[in-house]
Amino acid sequence: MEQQQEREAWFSAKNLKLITTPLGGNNPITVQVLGICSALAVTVQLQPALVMAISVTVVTAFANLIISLLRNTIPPRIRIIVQLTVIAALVILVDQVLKAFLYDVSKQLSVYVSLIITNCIVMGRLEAFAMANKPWPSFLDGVGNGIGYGLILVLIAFFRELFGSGTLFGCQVIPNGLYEAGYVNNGLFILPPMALILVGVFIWIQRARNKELIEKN
Amino acid sequence: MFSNKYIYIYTTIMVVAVAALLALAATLLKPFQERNAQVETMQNILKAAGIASTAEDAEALYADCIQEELTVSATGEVLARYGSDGSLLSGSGARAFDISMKNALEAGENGAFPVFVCRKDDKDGYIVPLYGKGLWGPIWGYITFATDMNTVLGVSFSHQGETPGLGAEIASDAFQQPFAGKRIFDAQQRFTSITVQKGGVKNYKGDPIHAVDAISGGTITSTGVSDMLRDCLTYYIPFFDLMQAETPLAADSLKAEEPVVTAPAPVVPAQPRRVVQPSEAPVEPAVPAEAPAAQSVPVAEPVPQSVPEPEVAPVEEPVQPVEPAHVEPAEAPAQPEPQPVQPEQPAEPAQPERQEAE
Repeated sequence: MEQQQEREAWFSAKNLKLITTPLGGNNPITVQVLGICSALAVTVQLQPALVMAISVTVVTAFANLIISLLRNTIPPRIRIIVQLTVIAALVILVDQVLKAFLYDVSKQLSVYVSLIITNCIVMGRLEAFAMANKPWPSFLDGVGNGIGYGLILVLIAFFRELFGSGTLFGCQVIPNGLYEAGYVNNGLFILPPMALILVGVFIWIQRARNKELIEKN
Repeated sequence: MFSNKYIYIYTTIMVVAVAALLALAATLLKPFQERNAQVETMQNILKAAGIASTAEDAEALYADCIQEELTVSATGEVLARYGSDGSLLSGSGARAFDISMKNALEAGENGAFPVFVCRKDDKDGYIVPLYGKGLWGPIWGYITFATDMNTVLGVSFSHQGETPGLGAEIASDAFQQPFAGKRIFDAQQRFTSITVQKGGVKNYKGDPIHAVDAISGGTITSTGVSDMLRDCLTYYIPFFDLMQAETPLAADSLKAEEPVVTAPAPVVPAQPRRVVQPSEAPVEPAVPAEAPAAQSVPVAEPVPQSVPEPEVAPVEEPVQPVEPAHVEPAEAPAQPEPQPVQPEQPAEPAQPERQEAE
């Protein structure tokens, strides 16, 4: 990383771009359409979605960093195995830490923390970026993609929790008066299909505003 | 460019390094994780006792509220008594707090079952753990009985992964509150358990004191709670019997002789019925021949209807659903219409109900 600093500022425009493009134009969920499964599973409420977003960001960032550091030593024939080992080790660490210090959330997330291993975003970034780039840009790329994923997760969770349970982070936000007036929570928002519909809506909105993203055929 | 030898060495080093790292992490974090699990158990027990606690004060409240932890056998014997700090007071055997209800249920008749004696507002309560299955995974909880070993003081339920908003509602206060005041033995001291009734208590064919509302859209989880209550409590009936015999103040629940005949819920057949009242002495289980006949005559419904709960999942070994055998001889004539009620059978919902969406 030191030699990186000599040639280029840590947060040069090029490096910052690594963080910002996955948030919008190259978002892992809405543009690359990766990591959909967990986006459906953990977005019923905001808190687990947020913890999941942070967990995935940590895993992608550090997996990218480690693989990038090792990239010249990894034999190409077993690179996928090496990548998976690194991811799995990180995910287990995250899982253990959550169990020790964020017990309630870890119970809510249950198996989905372990399933970060199978999240295509992590593996995809390792193959596409970390194997061919220096550690610091790789780390930033991991952070960017993690946040890009987390952003969509939190957005979906916001709508699902608000309309499905009338709460945000577990606090009642829809006034009781509204319920007395006949308002009811929408059960569909609690179920996974609504997450898929919301993802679809986000993709629609994004492509309507940014015509470049529309597929040619 | 990379030789096979290099690859072997590379993978070996990598695997050893990762294993060492994970082992280290697991060892360092284990105390925290175990403490979390213990605190959670304490919180659940306290919740069933009607005491709200947070992760921070759970241990202090637990030490304060729980008087004794009993380990009882399926025959009702107290095998061991522990203090709430884990010190052995008498007997021998595992500490109740450390017993997994799942393992105890698997051991069945040979199992050692935990009971927690709590004291709140100068009143004793007996907390019994529960374990069963919901739709997606295990459900568990605790139920607190008053000293009459019949009236429920409170419950707490948890689950691993029931559908949020549907089955997961069993963990909500709205679902758990109605359990308070319900009874598991009917006026004739037969074990009826508590049924989570689909369509609401009004659909329960029997004394509503043995039923609570199910969750719309969470039918399978609701049924799981019913099954869990019945299956787990069955093992405690002998213990309840003994405790009941020791505690004379059971009069409260016994005098409540409501004229409701509840269909024989699963009863442990060979068990001495708890607190057999002198007048009820002849009521022991085996009166097969005449009693059912006498009962089914005035009823318009065909007899097969009184076969105990065909829909309910098969019950554990010792719970033999008994034919409607023990009708009180003293009482049967007094009741012209002893409907052969089926408390366990989920009645058809009277009102349109959301489909099982789970």
